[in-house]
Amino acid sequence: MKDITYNLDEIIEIIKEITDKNYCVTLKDTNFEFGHLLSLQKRLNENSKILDGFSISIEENLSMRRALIALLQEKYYTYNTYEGIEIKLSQLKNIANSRFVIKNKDTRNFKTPQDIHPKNPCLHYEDDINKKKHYKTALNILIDLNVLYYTNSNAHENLKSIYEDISNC
Amino acid sequence: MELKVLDFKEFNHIKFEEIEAKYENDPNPVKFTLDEFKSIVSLLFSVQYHTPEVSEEHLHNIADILYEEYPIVNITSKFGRQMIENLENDYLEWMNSLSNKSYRISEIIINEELNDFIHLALIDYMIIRKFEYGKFFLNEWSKLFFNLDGYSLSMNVAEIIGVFRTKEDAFKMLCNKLLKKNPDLSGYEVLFLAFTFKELFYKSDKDFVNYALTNFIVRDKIHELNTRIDTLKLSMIKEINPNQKTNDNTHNKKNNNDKDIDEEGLNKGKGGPKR
Repeated sequence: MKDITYNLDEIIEIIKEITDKNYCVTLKDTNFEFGHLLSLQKRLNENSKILDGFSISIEENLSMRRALIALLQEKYYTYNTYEGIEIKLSQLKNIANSRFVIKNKDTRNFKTPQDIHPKNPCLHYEDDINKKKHYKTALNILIDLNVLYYTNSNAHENLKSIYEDISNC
Repeated sequence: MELKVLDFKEFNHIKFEEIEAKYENDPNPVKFTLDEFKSIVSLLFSVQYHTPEVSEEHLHNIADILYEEYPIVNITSKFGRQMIENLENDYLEWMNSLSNKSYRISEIIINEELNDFIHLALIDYMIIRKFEYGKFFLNEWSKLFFNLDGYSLSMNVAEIIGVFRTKEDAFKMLCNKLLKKNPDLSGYEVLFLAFTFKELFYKSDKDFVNYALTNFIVRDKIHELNTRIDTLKLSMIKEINPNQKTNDNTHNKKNNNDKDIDEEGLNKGKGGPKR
């Protein structure tokens, strides 16, 4: 069982350093404080290689659907339509798998970018209220924890406006 | 979005084998009671959280979760149930609509719609809930395996608490002590035990990183921890009460390994907790 790659003192130092920052992930034990949560996560990410050597993987879980929404948003948020763009979903899935722990790989219902992260979502879901609701719920966590998923702040701002639109149509 | 911390509630869990026995001869899809449905979803949550993918290769581990073979593995489904009981707004509405549908029990584990819900409403939220899960796990596995009444006053525990109060590198000292006494422990096992000890006897509101790391360890290593449960138990007992007899009840019995220590071990005989 014993692994040979870890250095106990090194990891204890990391834990101590993060503990001393005193991140309050929950506020008064009632709500989560996303700013502190993201800061703590960032510190862990910075030390991911050392933790890996300790057999601790800090990659986060994300459903393939949310991961693909994040990637489509990141790459194509400036486009008004997916028509005329060659998008290889298999490639996007590979990127998703390298960035997140993806256990639900089932995308049978999501065969095209428009199925996954539709342009003009109000129009796309106008005949299916349930699907619209599920899409809206898929967006919320991506918006709140954007730092974990995006590197592009414009893509994030754009996603917020999509969320507002779909909340009002 | 505002996300509240979990409000831990009482619930009625129904075992999967009971649900299966009730419906397995039904030729048509069946509608479960709400408690049956929530129990199934909580077990599927645990399957999805601990299993790289639902496939033949992992069938044995999946069955261990689904049929609740080991107490330590069951902790995750209990946490999943608390998440279910705390759903609100769109997610609650979604769950209620799913609970009103009919399913074939034999195909429930691969039901696409249900798995979509489990991931979008539960698993994806572990990015936030991991702190609560880590804390919950440390407390629950301790409750299962150690009778903690009176321990806070045992000499050994008092000594370590004293170290935490006075020494800045107390956590390091505890880890090194654990490793010295139990040289066969792997690195993540030492940490897991040290986090447990800290949570039981000297927890603080700064321990979020401990909870996050516990989450990652347990998420990926639950079956390994279960296999090593006797070693982990004994390592903890040595730390809590070094005079405790350790030659009994070291096997990992299905379903009743939580009773071993309580009935035979820590509170009886020479070396019981000092009050």
